[in-house]
Amino acid sequence: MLKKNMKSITFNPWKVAVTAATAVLLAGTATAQDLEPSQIDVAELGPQVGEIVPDFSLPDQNGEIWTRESIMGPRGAMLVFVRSADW
Amino acid sequence: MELENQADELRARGYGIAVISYDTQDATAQFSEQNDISFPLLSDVGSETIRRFGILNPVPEWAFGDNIDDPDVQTDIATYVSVFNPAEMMIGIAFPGTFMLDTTGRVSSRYFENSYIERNTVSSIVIRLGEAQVPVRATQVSMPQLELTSYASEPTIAPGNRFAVMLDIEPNDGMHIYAPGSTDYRIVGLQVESDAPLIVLPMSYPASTDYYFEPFDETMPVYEEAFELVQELILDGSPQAQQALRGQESITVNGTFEYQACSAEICYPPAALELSWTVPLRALVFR
Repeated sequence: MLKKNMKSITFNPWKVAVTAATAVLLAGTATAQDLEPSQIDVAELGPQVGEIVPDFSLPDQNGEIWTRESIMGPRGAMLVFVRSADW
Repeated sequence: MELENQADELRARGYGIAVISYDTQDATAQFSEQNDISFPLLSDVGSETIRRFGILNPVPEWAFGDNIDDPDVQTDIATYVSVFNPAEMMIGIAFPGTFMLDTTGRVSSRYFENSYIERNTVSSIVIRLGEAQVPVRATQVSMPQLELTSYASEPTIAPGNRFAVMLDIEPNDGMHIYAPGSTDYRIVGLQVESDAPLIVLPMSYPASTDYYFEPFDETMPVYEEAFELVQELILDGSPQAQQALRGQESITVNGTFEYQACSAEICYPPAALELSWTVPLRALVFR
């Protein structure tokens, strides 16, 4: 099933992903993000240009705690989200 | 992590760096040691910060939900999680992306990945900070004047194939971008460069509209709504070109996207973004 489906989307995956926005919200799919299948547009997720990002307080690899303010250099910061460093 | 190579330069230019993932501190400590990482790798165990940012990837959860047979769910799993078997441990991951922040924490630009295709076609964008150049993996860029989505039309190519790199551009509200035929403004376009034997076809432009700017009493062709630029390319199929490609697994197309955006009040200087697409080669047939 998955394989077959993948084949059909390799034809023009981008367009399919963008236009197949006809999904029906079924019970059990709601998450913290409130997204529905095939309605994901990453451009619209998260803080946009001109908006202030949420503050945070997280430990680094050495146990030191960092916040939005403490990561800043004199001109700003690059904040990168990755899926995982582990796999 | 290629970011490590740019970290010193970023800091020298006055920018801090931090990376956030849902990994445990044990995992980040191990990764940091193995890869000699000099910047903070922040552990967001439980993904609370990722959720607060609104960029939690919900799709892994769907893979273990009741709707696993829904074709849309299947598509999303292949697109945003894994073309192989999704694993339960992937629940909690973020959509990968980069925010450039000013000192108050305000987003000055953002760079995200999208689409299944880039699992095969690696797209990257170079962020310029003064003289520093920082490549980030992204297909989707948000700038103050426009949104850009860039991708290659094919997941793999072979010599002799025609393919395209596509630029979907959406001017922000009230902005216009100068189209061919404009004078005194930078016309939107892509300058392609590649070490690969590529034949670069003329850029195909959609129809533009006329914009009247009263203070200068001038009318210029512009794009005010979303538009798509298609840069068609042919990978040379000649025996010499095939010989040159022997042993390569992919080709890289580099391009400089240039544009100038203005609103009725502000005219921004010409801008450029460096883009690159790495497209895997299909098995070559030698004559």
